[in-house]
Amino acid sequence: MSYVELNNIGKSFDRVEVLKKINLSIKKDEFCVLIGPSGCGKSTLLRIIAGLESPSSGSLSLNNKDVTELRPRDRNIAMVFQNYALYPHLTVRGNMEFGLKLDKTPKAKINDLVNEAAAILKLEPYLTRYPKQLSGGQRQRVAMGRAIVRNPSLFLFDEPLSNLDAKLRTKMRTEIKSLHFRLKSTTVYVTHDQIEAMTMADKIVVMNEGEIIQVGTPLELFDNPKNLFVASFLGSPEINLFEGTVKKSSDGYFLKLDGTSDLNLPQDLNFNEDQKIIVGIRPQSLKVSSKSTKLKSVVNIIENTGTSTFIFSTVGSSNVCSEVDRNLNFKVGDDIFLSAEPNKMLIFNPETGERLINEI
Amino acid sequence: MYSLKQNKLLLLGLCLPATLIVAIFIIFPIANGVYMSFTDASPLRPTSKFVGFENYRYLFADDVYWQVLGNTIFIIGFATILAMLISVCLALLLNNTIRFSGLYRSLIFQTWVVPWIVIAILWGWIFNTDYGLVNGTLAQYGLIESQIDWLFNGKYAQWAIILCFAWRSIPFLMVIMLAALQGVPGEVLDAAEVDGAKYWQKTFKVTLPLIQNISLAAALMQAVRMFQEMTLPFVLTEGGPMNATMVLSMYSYNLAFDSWDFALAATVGSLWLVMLVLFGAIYLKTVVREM
Amino acid sequence: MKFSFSKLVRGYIIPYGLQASALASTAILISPIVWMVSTSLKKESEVFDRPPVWIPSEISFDSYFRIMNSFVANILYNSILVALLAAIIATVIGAMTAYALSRFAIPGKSTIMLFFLSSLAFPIPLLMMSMYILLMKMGLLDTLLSMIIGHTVITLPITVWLMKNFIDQIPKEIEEAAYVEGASFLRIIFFIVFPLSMPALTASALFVFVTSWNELFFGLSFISSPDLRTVPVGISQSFLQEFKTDWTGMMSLAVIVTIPIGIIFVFLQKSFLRGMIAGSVKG
Ligand SMILES: Nc1ncnc2c1ncn2[C@@H]1O[C@H](COP(=O)(O)OP(=O)(O)O)[C@@H](O)[C@H]1O
Ligand SMILES: [Mg+2]
Repeated sequence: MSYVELNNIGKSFDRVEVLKKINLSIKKDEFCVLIGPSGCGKSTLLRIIAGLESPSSGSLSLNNKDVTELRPRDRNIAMVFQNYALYPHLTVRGNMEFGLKLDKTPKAKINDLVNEAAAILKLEPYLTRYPKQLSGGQRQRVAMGRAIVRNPSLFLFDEPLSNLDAKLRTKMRTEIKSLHFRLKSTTVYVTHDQIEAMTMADKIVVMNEGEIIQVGTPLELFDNPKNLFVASFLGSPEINLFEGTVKKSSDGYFLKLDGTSDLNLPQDLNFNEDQKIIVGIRPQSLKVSSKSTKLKSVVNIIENTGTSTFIFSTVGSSNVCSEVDRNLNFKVGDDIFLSAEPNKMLIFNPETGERLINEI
Repeated sequence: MYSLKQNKLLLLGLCLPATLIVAIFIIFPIANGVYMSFTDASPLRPTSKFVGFENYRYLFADDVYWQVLGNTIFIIGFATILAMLISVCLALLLNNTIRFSGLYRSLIFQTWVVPWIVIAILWGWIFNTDYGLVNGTLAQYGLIESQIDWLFNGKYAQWAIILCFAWRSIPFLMVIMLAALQGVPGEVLDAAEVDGAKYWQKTFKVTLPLIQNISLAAALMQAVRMFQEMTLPFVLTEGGPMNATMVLSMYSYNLAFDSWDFALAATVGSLWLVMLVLFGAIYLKTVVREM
Repeated sequence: MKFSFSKLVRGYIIPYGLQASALASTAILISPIVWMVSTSLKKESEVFDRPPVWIPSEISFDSYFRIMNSFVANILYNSILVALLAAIIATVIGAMTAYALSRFAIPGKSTIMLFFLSSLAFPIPLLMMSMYILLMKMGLLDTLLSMIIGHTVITLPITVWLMKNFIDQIPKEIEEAAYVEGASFLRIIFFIVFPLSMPALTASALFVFVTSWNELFFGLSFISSPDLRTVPVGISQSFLQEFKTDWTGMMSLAVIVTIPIGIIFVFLQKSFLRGMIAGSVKG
């Protein structure tokens, strides 16, 4: 059963079209992440769902009720902002009570709700403090506390973690996720950080320039991106792209790259000879060996993050990255040979950027 | 959320009081004032008639008007320059890590609320010919032989007023400049120091250029306020001696509410507006464009 | 240890030199006020002493008792009433307008702000003439209300300007958060925006109060009844004539009428500065 339904939502600011015909449905209890580069319209879309902006065209329903014309307060939602937007002149308790008081909730009930939320978020020691006396992570929690006390049927988050340092971000990520697991509430979460999207989402919506590019589970998008944009946007380090011309030899089809290197192509696909294509191979699938293949390269940089080791090397004029076993002993300047399993290759049309699957 | 269409009533409520006040008590008076400058309006007369540029012709031919205009520019010009120089030095001084600098700042700023009427009486006492502090102190150190008639000699009286205007402007200018100085990023000064700049070089090449715009805006604002200030000449010297301390605002006030010649007073005011518009245009063209 | 001239300069001469100059400049700048207080506390006999005596040999409050009468109480009362009401009215109206100008896409916004800014420089006598006529027609001449109106009019532009610049710096998200939580605009304005604008509200209210406390000419021309006179009007119209040569008395009165505003300012100076600076020095 879908909870949020966006029908042909469009939005223009002073004749600049920021959102173009957005259609999206989000299921009840689903954690949906909107991701895309900065300026692509994610916040605008979220604010339309919240009722802070009204769409220039299209309609929006929550729980099968058209809410396009309703004010935020009549939508039963809660929103967490990037800069937290706490009320600086109210204590932590005051911040969490604010909405409840507006709803005329009885005093005792307010206390219970606030105490409960404070317990969940480990904010009990700070209830009498003011926002400026809190650390970034604590403020973030207060912002969430303010959202959960109202028991909304829809949570909206706009890049809630981007003001935190890397370590805290990882921690809060799991906290938000476990909170969602516990409260089971429908959530729309905006981020530009693909790791957040991959780790938190039930469903990822990739946006670019005011349009939805692809919708799917994290792994669907990772394994089966619809086009070059999605393939490059998800995954870190970025997917390697090899551009070249399809040639045929006695062993079957291969990709002729600029320079002397070649790349064997999946043999179960039908290519046309001299067709131009782009082959994408994720660093995790790009194998490195000293055993000779047709794709020869020279090690430029070796990056060791502790958990994984990446080798950056040059093929022709482009840089490629591969993840390797840390025990392999390569040095900068070594000649290496690259290969990939055919089923890990993603083939794209270089002109449109669309993925080529069967109909090649 | 902030949609004009959905919040018409709210906007009306928020803006109506100010709009009414501005329309009735600022825009109408200005328009009516300009209109009156072409008539012979006076509250002493039941009706008024249109006289064209008669008032302007009269005023341009009147030596007193030109003298008053000259006085005003002289007094406010010198007071502003003096106040700026002293305020810059003070702000630079107090911006150092000096013990009690916060106290000094507060003490100086405190003088900003001394009412003008008090200053007028006080200045009269300090510059009193026979018993005043200024003559007393100058005589004590043998700097003068006979008492100076500060307020009864045109040139001296102008300077007494200039000193007063400057003294009164300093606190405000100083705190604004201090705030601006505190806003100069430390890294920039550190960078200059690493580049080998000495204190004076840092001050003149980095600090002052960085606070220049704010300081000039504050000075302009202060000058504008002084332009409207008339309590001091009105109470202290009554514009005298021989109109030496008569400033434009007091001159037009006297025309309006002493001679009840609204028409001529309105003419002075209208010319003042013209100057303002010219000045504003020049200001927008030069200063604002540079910013 | 070797004697070093530059160490001496850096360690002693510069710090003490700076301290001495700061002390001296402050002393000079506040000396007129010190002289005023000193004169007011002197005995009649010491006032004309040469060379000038800064610290009275005997402190005497005689002059205070001499000038403190119902007339002084009355002008103080009138001034407080006018200044307080003008401060409240101008600040509230200014803040409301500033909020609208800050948050809504009102057409011609920058022109409106420019108008407010330049109206600070408008010739006040020009405004006063038509105001006089209008107030006469409304039957408001010779009432304290006429002065309250006058003072509100000349200070409204600055309160709008100060408040707008301050509100511009309050993140909109705070208001949006409240809006999502179900707060109405009025609640947002009065329970969120105004409390957060306290420094600017203080600064503009104080600015209006000080201006009103200072203002002589509206009172001079709009008021004719002696018992409606404010401090500046009362002093210039009655007191100066009667006490022309009573210097201790005049200085005592000067001290008395400075005290109310001086005390307010002692407590609000910090807040005033914060609001003034945030409101005038953008970004
Ligand atoms: N209130 C507004 N007025 C005009 N343009 C806006 C407004 N809000 C957003 N935009 C524009 O809309 C586009 C999308 O903005 P936004 O939704 O904030 O992007 P994102 O959150 O994906 O970074 C941007 O180009 C932005 O400049
Ligand atoms: Mg955004």
